Amino acid sequence: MNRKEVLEKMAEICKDVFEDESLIITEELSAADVEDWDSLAHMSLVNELGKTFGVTFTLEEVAECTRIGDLLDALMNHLSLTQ
Amino acid sequence: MYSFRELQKACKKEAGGKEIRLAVLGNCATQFFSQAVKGYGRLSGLNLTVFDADYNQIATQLLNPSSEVYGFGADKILIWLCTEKIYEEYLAEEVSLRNAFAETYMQKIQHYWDLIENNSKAQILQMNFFEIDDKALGNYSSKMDFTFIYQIRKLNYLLAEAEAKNGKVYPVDALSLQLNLGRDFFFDAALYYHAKMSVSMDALPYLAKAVIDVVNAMNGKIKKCVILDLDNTLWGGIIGDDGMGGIEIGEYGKGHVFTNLQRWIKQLKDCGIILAVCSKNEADIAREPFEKHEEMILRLADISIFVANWNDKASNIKMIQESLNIGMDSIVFLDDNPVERNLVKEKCPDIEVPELPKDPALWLDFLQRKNYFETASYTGSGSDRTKLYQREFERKSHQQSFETIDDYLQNLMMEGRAKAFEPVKYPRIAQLTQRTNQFNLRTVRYTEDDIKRLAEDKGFITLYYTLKDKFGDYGLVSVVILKKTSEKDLFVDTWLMSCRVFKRGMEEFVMNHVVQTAKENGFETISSQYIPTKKNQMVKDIYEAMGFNRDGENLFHLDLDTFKTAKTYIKEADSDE
Repeated sequence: MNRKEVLEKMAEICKDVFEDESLIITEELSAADVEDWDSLAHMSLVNELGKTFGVTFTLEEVAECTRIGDLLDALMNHLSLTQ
Repeated sequence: MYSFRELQKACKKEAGGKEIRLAVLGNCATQFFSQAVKGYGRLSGLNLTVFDADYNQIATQLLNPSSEVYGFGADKILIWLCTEKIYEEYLAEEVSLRNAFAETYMQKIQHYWDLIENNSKAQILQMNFFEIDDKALGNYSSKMDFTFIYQIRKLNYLLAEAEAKNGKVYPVDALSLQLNLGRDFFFDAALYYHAKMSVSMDALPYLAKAVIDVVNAMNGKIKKCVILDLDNTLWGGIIGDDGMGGIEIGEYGKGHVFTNLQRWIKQLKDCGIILAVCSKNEADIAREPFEKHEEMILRLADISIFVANWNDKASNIKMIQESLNIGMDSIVFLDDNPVERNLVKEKCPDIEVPELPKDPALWLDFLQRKNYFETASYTGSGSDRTKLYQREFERKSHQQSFETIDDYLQNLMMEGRAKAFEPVKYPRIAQLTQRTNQFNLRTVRYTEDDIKRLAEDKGFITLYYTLKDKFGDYGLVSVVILKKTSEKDLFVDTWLMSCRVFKRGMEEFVMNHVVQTAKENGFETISSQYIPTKKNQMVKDIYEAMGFNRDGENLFHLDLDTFKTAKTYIKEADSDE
């Protein structure tokens, strides 16, 4: 899966977790831009991403990825290691 | 199992019925747990509202009588003390004091219970403790009393002991879930360190199910009966083809699987579950193993109703259900044959039909994990029930030999007796309020403590009724709680009756006695109410049938002077027996 495909899949998951179909998901989007992206929703998002892509995020990634792009970087990193 | 996201979404689902207010108190972050419980509740059709207290506020919330938790008006309070946090507290303790850790901790929990009891009427759901083994001394830890694994195991034991002495506390066995699912599945390190949540999101739905199972049982939603297929379900092989010597049962090979299944089912019967057989077979051939096979664990005496014929199973099951007079949703049907299972499920949608795995060796574990037999009380009288239902069958056949129902009832030589609540009966009375769904006018559920309080309260008249006939003793079959609303008026707070005795004249006997009691105590009117539920339609018109006037949609009253004693064949027993 390339970066663009992963981002598209991520977008679906974000819309589900934040319960907003109209969200436009870009790499720049951050917790500050989305009303429902609070710390609980963040954990829910991380969990859904982990399950969907079959990876386990480290504590540091969980704590420090506050932008979609950060999460995408972390995901791509995990995915490249498992291939 | 539902996913956590499904449960989160289900929180918005509407649910009707009586509202249940549950407060969650934890020493760890419980927001997701509370959402999971609420969502699971809504998906089970419970109108559940959950209050999630901020974490680590247990003592503050419970000590202050005007705290949020008490203000919320919880009827149930759940306490969850997660082991990760307890472990940190343990490590903060002086090494020399660690061997007393569990006892000290148990005192703290006992204190929480006392505070709840003093400040509210809420029932308590207490979660027990997952295990963490820090291997401080390797395997040797488990015998050294100051290690954490020793202390957390001791704490689980002390908790069970304390719960056994407290009728208000209902256990949620989180440890058994952790054992089934495994620590790796249960614990998510990133979630704990980032959000202070000690259970993974994948495991939360299982934990939520355990809580809702307990809540459902507390509300009287329990399984009462297992209906069993025989060939290839209770034994390997087909008795009609393979014969007594050919069926597989015993200690060897596949027979061992069926023996252990029967042992478990026998235990269910000893715990009060009714057993029935429903098999496509010749009756005599089907009975033979129960009578003569040396390796059989289950015997005819264990089976309340034995149906072996060639009719379709759905009709047989309906017949069994009607004879037992219990709800279809309180029955579990075990059959190895998927075709039979589907047919039964289609004709009786409310019955529980486990989709048994193909390999019978997996059945026992599968059934045990389903947790069908949750209960909120145990009186130990259950094992007598099989005889009761067997006698009921005799009565039914006896009935057929009479021309009219009056002849039949007269011939039963029934004797009824009324008494005020007395301590030895409190558990049985509480159990009836929790379990009776059909003949129950207001469906108010009481704990043993509540019953004691009512019995001692001068503002109430409490009565229980027993019945026997020439076939045997039914025991305690009806409960009435009358509230003195004024010097002139009594309100029927509770009237319930076991459906086994419905249409025998018992309802008339009870009402005659209630009116007589009211008169003797100087009252002039009785007021009453019918609160409709899904299951109590059978009594919606009973007050009018007894001569009450309808005041509102479901409100009634009776002027005692106008009451005409109702006809019944039940004689009042001598009071000194």
